[in-house]
Amino acid sequence: MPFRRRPAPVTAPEPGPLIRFEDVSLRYGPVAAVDRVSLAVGDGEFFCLLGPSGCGKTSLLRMLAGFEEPDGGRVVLDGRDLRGVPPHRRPLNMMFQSYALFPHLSVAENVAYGLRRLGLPRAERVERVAAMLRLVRLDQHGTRRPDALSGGQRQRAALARALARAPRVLLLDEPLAALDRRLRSETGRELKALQEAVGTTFVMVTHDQEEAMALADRVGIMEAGRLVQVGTPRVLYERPASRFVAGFLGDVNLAEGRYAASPGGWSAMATRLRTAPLSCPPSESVPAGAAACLAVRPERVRVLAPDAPRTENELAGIVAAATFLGAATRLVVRMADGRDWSVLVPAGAQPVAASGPVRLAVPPEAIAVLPP
Amino acid sequence: MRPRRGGGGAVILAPLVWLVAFVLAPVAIVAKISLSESALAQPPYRPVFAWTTDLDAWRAVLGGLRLDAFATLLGDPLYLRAGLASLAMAAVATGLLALLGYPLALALARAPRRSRPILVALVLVPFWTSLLIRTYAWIAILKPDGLLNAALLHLGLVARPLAILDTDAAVLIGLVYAYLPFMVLPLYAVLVDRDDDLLDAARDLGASPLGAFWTVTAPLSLPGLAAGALLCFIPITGEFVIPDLLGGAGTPMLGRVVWSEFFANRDWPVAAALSLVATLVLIGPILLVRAVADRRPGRVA
Repeated sequence: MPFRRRPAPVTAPEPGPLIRFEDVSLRYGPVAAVDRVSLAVGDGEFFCLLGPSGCGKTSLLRMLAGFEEPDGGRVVLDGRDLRGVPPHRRPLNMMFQSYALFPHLSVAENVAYGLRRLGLPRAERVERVAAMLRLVRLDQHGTRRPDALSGGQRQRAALARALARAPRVLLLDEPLAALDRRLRSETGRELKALQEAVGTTFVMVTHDQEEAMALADRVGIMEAGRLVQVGTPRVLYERPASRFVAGFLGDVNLAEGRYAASPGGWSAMATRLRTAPLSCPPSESVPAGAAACLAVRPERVRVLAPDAPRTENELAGIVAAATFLGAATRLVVRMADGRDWSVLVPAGAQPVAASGPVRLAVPPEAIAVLPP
Repeated sequence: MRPRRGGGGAVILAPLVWLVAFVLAPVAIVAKISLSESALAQPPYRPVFAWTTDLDAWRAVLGGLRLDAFATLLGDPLYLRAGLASLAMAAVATGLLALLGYPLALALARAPRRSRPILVALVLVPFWTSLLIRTYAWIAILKPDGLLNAALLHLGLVARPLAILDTDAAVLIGLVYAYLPFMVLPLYAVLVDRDDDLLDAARDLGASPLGAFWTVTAPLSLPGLAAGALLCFIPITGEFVIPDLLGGAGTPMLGRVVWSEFFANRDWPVAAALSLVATLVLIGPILLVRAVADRRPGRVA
């Protein structure tokens, strides 16, 4: 394989991050597409920027690629300020959402395009193109035009072209969005395996939370131009910092209330779900006595049998609907505060009546206390 | 798959009728005249077809056809010279048109989206006036005491008026002026339809802005350039008005020779034969462009 392996971030003794966004802003007229974002991405990391469309994630990527210059702050790669460096002089390559394959060139010529600009000798270029095409399993299709390829093949051709120059960082703009659903998960796995094999730092942009969670080492969530939380997929899912993050990464049940911290042991949340407060973990973001919002994932809510003994954090509700999903059954439960909660009952658990009262329990550690 | 509709036959028939009535039939008539003999009569050639059921009459007419007109074309070097001069003039004019038209089309295509329709309309404004009148206007500009020379003299750039009118230069100026929209519009059509991602991708893969133009924009605009070149080259080869009004006696272009054979010499068969040969020769570049287009099935995007 023609790639130099780079040290993984864990083994390197505290290396400076490969990419640093320092207080970066980008304005289109009065609108801030990116609003004072600071972020560090380590060498060899698979980092994903996640957010709804228009949140500024693609603008951030384009500033890294050099297609946009920040209005404020700076972008640093390998300790070097990238201000004023044009796209063709930046040691990173981008895979476009549209793939942007040159329609007048064959697949092999597309892959060779970036190598030509490097001025590699012909023999080396040919060899490298062949290696890249083998890497993405397109060695039989080098002479074809992009429009003679299937969607998945086009995606792989674009990947080969972007990786051919062995960039320090590969930028991926919605790399799987144009593929159909079945192909998406398969291609996603390939992408992850490829990233681990070549060791290149990947920075990906997506609006698909499943994709981000499945592929990335760390995810940065953006909302309206701001980076609202950065962390591993597990941390983001289990310890979201805000209602937006909690709601963006999968389903979540919410309840407003007041937070009461208690040093040592569980803290408490007073809500309209029941008269007694609920036990919950201490919150990092909500001060004691302040209004707060309780969040629980549907799969963490337990359904109790009618004759089960009293349990901690027990709640009463009324089942409004039950939908069989195969691996689980989704209940819609009307809670005491009038909101509907979603509860996932795994297949094999005791069956629940599709209507009528139900006893629920929320383990304290499953609760996240968020700002209101 | 699109379902076939009953009207499909009529849709194909309409252009077919058009082609037969307005392309094939006139060419057939010209071909017939080219095989006739010049005569002092009305029409000025013989034999003349007449609708009759008498087979002998048909046989007599067909027997009267001869290749004399084509022999005349081969015998007198005037015709070959006129043909080559026309092709050369058309080639030079088309080259100039491409050099001038490409930047113009590019500027139109890169203009702010809202102003593009107005700019394209401005390219078409000259068509509101007859070509004849516009060509006469060029005489007023180019003649020795015309606007151009007056301006040059006034600015002190020349000591004596330049002799431009009645030269090949004047013909080239007139041709480039008249045909510019035919070059600009097809180029504009392919250039305006660009994909920004392709240019970004080229920059991302190490191409400078100029490099991205040469490796992406230029090759993708070739179909437009080919269409524009055909739209200019072919009519210019047979152009009559502009060389006749702006050119000198030393510019024996095809159009003028055909005109003088028809109207001055009243030799319709030679004029018809010349037209026919020119038509056949001009199919060449069309086939060439088609072949190039087929070899490069690059999607215009």
